[in-house]
Amino acid sequence: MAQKRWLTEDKLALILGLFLFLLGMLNFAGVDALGWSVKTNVWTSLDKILSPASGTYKNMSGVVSLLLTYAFITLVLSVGLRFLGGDLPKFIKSFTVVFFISFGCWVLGSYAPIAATPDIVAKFHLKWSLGLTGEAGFIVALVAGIIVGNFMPGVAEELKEALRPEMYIKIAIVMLGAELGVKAVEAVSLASSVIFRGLCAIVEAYLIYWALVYFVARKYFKFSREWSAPLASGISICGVSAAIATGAAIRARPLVPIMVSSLVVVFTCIEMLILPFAAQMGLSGEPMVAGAWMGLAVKSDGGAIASGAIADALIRAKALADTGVHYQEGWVTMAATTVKIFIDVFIGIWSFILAVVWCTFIECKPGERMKFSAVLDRFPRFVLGYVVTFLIMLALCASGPALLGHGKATIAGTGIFRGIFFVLTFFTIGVVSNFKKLWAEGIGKLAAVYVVCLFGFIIWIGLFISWLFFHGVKPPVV
Amino acid sequence: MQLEQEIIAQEMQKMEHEPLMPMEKKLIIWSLSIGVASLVLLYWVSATFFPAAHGV
Repeated sequence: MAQKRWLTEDKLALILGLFLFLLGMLNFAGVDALGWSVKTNVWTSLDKILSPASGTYKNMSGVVSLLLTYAFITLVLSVGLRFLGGDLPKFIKSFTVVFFISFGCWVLGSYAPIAATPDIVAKFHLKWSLGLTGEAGFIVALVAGIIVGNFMPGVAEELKEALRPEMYIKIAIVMLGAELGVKAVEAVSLASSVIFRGLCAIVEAYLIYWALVYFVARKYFKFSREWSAPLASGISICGVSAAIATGAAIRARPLVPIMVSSLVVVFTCIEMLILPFAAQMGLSGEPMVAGAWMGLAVKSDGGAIASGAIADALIRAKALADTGVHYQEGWVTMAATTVKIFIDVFIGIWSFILAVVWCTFIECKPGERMKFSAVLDRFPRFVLGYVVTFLIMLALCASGPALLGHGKATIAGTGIFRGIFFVLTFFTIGVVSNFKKLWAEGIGKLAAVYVVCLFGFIIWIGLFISWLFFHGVKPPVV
Repeated sequence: MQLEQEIIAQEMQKMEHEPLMPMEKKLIIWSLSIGVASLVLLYWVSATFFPAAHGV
């Protein structure tokens, strides 16, 4: 039997995220350790696309900055992958392609006629722009990923070693904690409100979603208990990790959560393409509701937080264009992240409850007992990184304006890497979303439950719960 | 991929109908009832102790 590795992708994401955060923190000691990283600007002329993140490195060319950033990220990830037991030469080769395609998409999305918001349109001598902000590059990356994954299966197979969207998003989330910590200093009551309301929202989501999906799968689609429980967790809670945790809790065969997970990935991609735009159309007056909605409705960490980031950009752009209100960046993403983080924390607890119910009342087999230590085993470690970076920056930056200045410089550096890991997430999610699976024989029944539950009530209950707890909560105005 | 498709097709075909057990019904009803009841309680708590903060 293969020995279980201590290091998992989740723990690696925590370590790498904290490493980048610590490099950024050197700003507090007067060292700008990440200022050389590449910043993508909104552009109309090619020479303006790239620049170093910080003025400390203003003499460095944008291309050198890009190459340094690529080399640094590749090195850091390669060291991590080495300990994870990955195929290093293959990873470096694949990651190089993934990095430059993803970055190219980000650059494309930053083209001024696509990205320029109304307040800077005149600066680019434009009369009109889509006003999607630089985050439009995320959508371009997602679409590019879908094209590669579905129309170039050979290329997708070659890139397999670097297709790790969950790891990329988890690294980004650890750094996102720091950014939100700095923002929270300037709006403490808003941040505490978002955190508490996020907690309320997910308690509701667990209790209502899971029971309804399980009932629909059992009663109307005649699925067995072994299939219904992972399916209910996968569709209603947090996609892949919830399906796997529930499968283990009720002792389902490994095949079951794997099949459910493959479906989750495809539908996550569909949600990412639809829901942020729906939120922009209907919720531009309630940005935080939109953020929480992304966290509750879109499955998988990558999908939900990435959707939160797109909704953040789209809604801020629309609010600015329609009403002239310029919301501070990141709060919609924070709402989505907070909700998703709480969901992740509760996966272990929910699995434990299900295991106890199954073992005690439903399919009691001698010698099978769920231990509470299993809850700790399933606790996602990257969540610790998010909480730690959030609290450190909150505590430091609340101590005085000078430290707040250092905090802002820190997140300016980590924010660059967070953005790059976001765009890597979008592209790789697209590549791993194989839509052909929906047409595979036998999967129709599974997909039908997913469609009925997701579009029938999960999205709408999620919207209602988000509205209930987040309506009237507005991000600070710039 | 082909193998995966065959496996899932077989799995769907051989799945036998299992009627809802009383315990499953209880699990569903309790979960929904606690969910709806706590909705009211949590809404009150959040509105009372964490009033909507409209930025700063």
